Amino acid sequence: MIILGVDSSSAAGSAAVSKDGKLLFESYANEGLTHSQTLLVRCDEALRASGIRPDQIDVYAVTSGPGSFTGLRIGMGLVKGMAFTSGAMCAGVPTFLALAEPLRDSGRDIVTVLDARQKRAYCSAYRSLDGELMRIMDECVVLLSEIDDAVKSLGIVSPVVVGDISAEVSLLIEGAEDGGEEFRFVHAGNVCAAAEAMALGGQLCTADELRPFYLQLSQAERNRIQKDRED
Amino acid sequence: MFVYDYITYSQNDTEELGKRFSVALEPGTEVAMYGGLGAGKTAFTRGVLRGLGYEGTVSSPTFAIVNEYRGSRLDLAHFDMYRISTEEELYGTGFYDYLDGRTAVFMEWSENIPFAVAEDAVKVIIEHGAGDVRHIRIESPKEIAI
Repeated sequence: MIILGVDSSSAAGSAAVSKDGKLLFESYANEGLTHSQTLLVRCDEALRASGIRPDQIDVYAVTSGPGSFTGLRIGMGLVKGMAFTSGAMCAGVPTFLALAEPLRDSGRDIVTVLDARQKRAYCSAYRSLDGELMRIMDECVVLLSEIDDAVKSLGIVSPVVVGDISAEVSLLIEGAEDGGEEFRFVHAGNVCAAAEAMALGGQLCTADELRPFYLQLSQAERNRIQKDRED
Repeated sequence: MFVYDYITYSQNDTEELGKRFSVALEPGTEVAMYGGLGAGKTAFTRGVLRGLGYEGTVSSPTFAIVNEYRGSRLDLAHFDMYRISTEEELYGTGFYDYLDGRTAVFMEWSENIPFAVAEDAVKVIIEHGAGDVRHIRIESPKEIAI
């Protein structure tokens, strides 16, 4: 299976090509240029470098969120456009899964966090077990002051923390370890790897069905934050 | 906090003040603007853009919500928050993507989004006087030379 993976869910942007689970090429940059100008160029570069023609691509994969509003739409738009012309299947890879992917075989609990501003994190968690990543925390918005309790209540012990605010969050969770610089941002090679697993699990969709995933606050969370602000 | 008070007597005056203020702008500066309809928020921002060397049309982003200007010294995103009230709505404008440290962000109707006004934002508060007279107060965390 040949997969073209794309990520533009944050300030970093990347494109990668994998074949049968093996990463052939990845183009990654976090130089602050806009994805709308660079992402398609990266796809072209990745395909040329790996000697793959567009009509050979079986699956187009893209991070589906949460993440930058504009970034997600650029990635989605690009992948939908490319997949639509060939009719290839797509994989909407949750940003958290792409972040946890390099730790698939680690045997660890992985807490994935992204900055949700105002002392909050978008958060999820995975458990690496027998080469599988099991999601053990539903994607949610959590106050940083409560993240330790949230993680403990799920029986997560000594996790690795990955994502853009992992350095800060790893200090808040008892026994946690910061995954480090390598794990702060999504790399498209991991989008390919996660998509390969999703394909095996029958989780692909058509270009038309592909949707960005914006994590919204529930009304209860909104009320709570409003209350905290007033206190 | 450094506070600067000005009185302008025409739209041109307000624009001129914006032009002088543009010198104080750095990439990443957030400018929260306050003042009702017709106060001169857009005139002030137009002056800023003239000061940055932009010669084209500058109009209120009432319908687009954000207008983006690419400059040689810095980029500027001009927001109108008139119809924005929640963080979800603000996120849906792409607002947070502009806080990249390279773009000066101007926000008209900042009254509507107090939660998103950064502590180190510069505030421009415009109040109506008689006729075309405007009282303009600039509050800046840093000393600025206008």
